[in-house]
Amino acid sequence: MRNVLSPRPAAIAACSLVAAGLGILASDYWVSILVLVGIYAIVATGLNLFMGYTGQTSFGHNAFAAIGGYTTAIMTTAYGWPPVPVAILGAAIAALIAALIGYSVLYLKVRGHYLGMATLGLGLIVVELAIEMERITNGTAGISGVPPIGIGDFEIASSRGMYWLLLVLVPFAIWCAHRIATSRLGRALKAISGDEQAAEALGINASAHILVAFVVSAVFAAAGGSLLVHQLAFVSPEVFGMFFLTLLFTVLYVGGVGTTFGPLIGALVIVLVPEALRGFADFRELIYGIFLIVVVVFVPGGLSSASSWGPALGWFKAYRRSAHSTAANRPSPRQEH
Amino acid sequence: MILRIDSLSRSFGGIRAIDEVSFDIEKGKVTAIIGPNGAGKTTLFSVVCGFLAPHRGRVELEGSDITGLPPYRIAAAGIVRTFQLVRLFKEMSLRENVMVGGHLATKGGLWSALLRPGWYRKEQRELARTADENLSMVGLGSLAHARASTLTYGQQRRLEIARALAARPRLLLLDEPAAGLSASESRELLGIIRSVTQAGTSVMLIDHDMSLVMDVADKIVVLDFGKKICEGTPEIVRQDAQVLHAYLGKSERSSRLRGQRKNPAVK
Repeated sequence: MRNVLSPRPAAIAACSLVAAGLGILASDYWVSILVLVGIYAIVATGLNLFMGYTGQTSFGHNAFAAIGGYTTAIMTTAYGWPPVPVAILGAAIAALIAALIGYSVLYLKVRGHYLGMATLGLGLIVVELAIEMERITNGTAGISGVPPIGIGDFEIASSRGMYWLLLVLVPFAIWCAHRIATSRLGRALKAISGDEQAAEALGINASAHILVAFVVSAVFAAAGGSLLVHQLAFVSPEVFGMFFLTLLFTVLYVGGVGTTFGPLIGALVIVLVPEALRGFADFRELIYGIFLIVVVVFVPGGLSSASSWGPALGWFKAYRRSAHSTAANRPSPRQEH
Repeated sequence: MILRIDSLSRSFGGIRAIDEVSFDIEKGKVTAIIGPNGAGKTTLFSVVCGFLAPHRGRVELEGSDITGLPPYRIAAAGIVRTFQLVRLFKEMSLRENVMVGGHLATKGGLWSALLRPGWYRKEQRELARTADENLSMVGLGSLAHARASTLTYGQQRRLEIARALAARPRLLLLDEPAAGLSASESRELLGIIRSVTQAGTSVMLIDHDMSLVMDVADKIVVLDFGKKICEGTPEIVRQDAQVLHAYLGKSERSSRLRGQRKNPAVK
């Protein structure tokens, strides 16, 4: 799929300027909202490798975000470990669990909806464990007082600091995903997404490749989970519950599954639109729901996929044509014949 | 001899789709498998490629046992197939499709994707170049950047062959390569198959297009109800009474077989 935004230097420079300007000028409130955009963008970028490029289904990536988040919360509060090594540890644990679960499920050729159900189970189990293992997770009450992220004495204590950090991390995450997508590995993943049997007939071990995509996307999710917990200074099972999961999907599908910038654009839209609708009070959820349906119907491949604007453009052109012919009081070309 | 198939059997329920089939495939030659619908041709292909496990028997590629290996390992051993219903990566460009075919001929996983070392970049450039060569060979050179889904049926068939060749197979398996092709497209295909064997690749093919099979095959194996009923050169097979009976039925006899032939000298 072609992107509306191809990574041209001028476009990148313009976006960096806008992002830096927002970091300086936006209010504390809006900066904290934008931090959430960045964190969701990182998790969705990882999930996009698995669901977009590789064409698989996961309803359980909240599990890996939870593993990253809880590792951060537990190790920094109860054991006083420094945040960065803890985040790496969290990602490593998530990768290990993804590898174990993925190996047992993917090598049994569990695919499609069944893979969706299996991963959904994984998400439910991890959230349930977070509730039940009270001694270390503090149950539903969660863990508060998580220290800010930082190295040594240098701490990123404010949302604005986190924003600057994400201004580095989000492009880095997208860059990594883009490099994977455009490599030999990424081509094999896209081939599996297109036709798994045909890919295997060309010597691609599909299960092993899907497993790699699963593990890498779990690392992205765990990193996002750690960042989220630092930002909130708090974690509870609810943070990584169903709301988190649905948000992740809407980000991915509204932004454009299988595109480079889709996850970021999706995160921007999905987080910012409800904020912009705050003034509508009771109607907010309704308008938001209609917005989602409109996007899915008229831009089915997501906002950042050029080809999926077809239906919307066709509709728009048809509208303009009919408006034009009515205004000029002329029969339309079809009627002439 | 490149491939030896030794008393291979596979049943579905009570039906013996292939039953004790044995034959050899000569190196650099074209071997055709023919037989009426349901004779077990595609099952035989699927077993050889690892898409189906055999219930009995052995498949040997140049002396090493490859029976029951998964498809990707059989491909790595040197057997690459095309499909009866073309199976392309529709969302990818023609060049990308062929580059996926070059998966086995190249290296590089996650780390080389992220770090892009010099050898990796060089290998990928080479791969893109040979992919374009492969496309030119099947007459699709000008369409390298088009999406596979935009091709006509005949072009799709040729792309699938280019993709399979990019894997540099020792044995190429073509499952009904001429199905749905026009007469002129069939002739083009014939040329492609000949140039493939001239480059040293052995070919095994299934087809219903008798004129194509008779023209291109060095050896024909005839299956009927899962059993091999005849094996030999086109001349031998054409005159075999059992084949005529099985393949053409009683009433039409050899007339149809001969009528479809385009070479009048043999009539």
